[in-house]
Amino acid sequence: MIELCHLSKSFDGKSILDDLSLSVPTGKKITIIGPSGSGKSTLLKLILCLIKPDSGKVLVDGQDMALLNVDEIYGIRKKIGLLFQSAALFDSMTVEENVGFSLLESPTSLSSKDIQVKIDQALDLVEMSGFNAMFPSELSGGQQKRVGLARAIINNPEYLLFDEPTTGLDPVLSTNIENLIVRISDELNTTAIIVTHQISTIMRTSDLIYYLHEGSLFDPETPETIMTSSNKVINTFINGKTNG
Amino acid sequence: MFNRLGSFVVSYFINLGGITQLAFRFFRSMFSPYKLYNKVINQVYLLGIQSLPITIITSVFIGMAFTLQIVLEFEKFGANFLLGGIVGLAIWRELAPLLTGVAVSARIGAAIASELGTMRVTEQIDALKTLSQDPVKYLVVPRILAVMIMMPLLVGVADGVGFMSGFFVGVPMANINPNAYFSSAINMLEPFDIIGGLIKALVFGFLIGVIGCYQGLNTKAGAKGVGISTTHAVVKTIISIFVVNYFLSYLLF
Repeated sequence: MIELCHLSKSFDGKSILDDLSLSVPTGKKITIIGPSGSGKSTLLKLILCLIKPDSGKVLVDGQDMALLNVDEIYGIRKKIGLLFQSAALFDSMTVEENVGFSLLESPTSLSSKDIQVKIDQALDLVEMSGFNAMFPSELSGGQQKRVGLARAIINNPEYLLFDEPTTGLDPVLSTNIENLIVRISDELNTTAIIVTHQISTIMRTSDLIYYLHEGSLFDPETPETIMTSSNKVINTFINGKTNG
Repeated sequence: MFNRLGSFVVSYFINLGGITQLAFRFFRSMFSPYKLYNKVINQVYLLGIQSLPITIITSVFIGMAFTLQIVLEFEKFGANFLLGGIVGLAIWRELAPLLTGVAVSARIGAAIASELGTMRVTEQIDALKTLSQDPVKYLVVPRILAVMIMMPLLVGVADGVGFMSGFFVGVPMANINPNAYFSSAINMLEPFDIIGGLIKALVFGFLIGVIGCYQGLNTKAGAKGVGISTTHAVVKTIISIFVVNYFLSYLLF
């Protein structure tokens, strides 16, 4: 289980997260929504201990990330897969090397044949079989995200984090990625945290939806309730209203 | 003005602290990376072998230009018979390590900073961390070791090429017996003149690697940031090499 307890984080004196708390129920897909720059991606980086909070705790399976040493943090990260907004594929490596990176670059009991089987399975799951020898620069944005997803799931993580998984993709590709998120989360029985501001992604992938407002989270909504939310801020955001 | 001076001093010490910290992390983890040998060999080829042409071109022309100046002056005093020793002394102790260091800084230091900087701004460094890889072990250690291996080899080449460039320019100009060029070098110089230059090369290789990696890993603000990091890496490395060279010359010779 992932728990965030009274998290605060500022950058250059500007408060981004302010006393934020959240428990992510095991096996659920929760979505964090909010306008650009509201701190959604910061939240994911805090969970992975890529940055440290000014105050508060991040607990993963009951372990306080701030109290762990480097090796223990790497151990926790093996339980978590992250799909970056930009996919963040290693551009000097092929698709196959990207997907198998964590197995190829760490001591493992798996034989090279077993690693190849796992790479092929992961690529098959994201419908990218046959792209093994291509480089990221030869792929479209949607294909890069799929490869990024294959890389994130190759170790069967307990938790999957998605940072703006469909931003910048056309509606058809967005739908494909959204379906993949739901299918893979269900097949691998993972807990998923999705950060997005795409309405279609919110509606298709979420069990619970949290709106991040001025550093804190509102009470959760569901895909059924959010369109008619009584919260004015959420209602304005979801329906695309402007103040002007 | 005082504000600018103050922020320059603060930034200088922040950078110095960061580079020192990275250097300590390098020494602490230099033998632990997985498949280290393969990574170092790969970097030696990518960073080192491809620097051979610039090293040869630099040392050919430095050897020729230096000899040209020396011959003209030595003729006035009838000291042409010392030519080989003086050219060897200058090239092996100072010019080859220093100018190879500068040329390699411009090529390898810039390449390291821009590569790691691009990885930083495209979130590839964060991706490494999420895949449980320490960027210092995976990226920094192989690069610094590769430059430290390659620099003495490149300086060794520059020693030979620079000295022989002096031979081909100096012997006909000074009108001396070719053997006299070599015998003056043998009489005036000791093996440590070459070894000392190679020790300098090892230290310069470390500086090029650690400063290039530090600048790359601390890149900010997109493509512009990559450009700034690359420039800073080259400038800081060249300044460091000149400063450290003085103290090494004082200590070694």
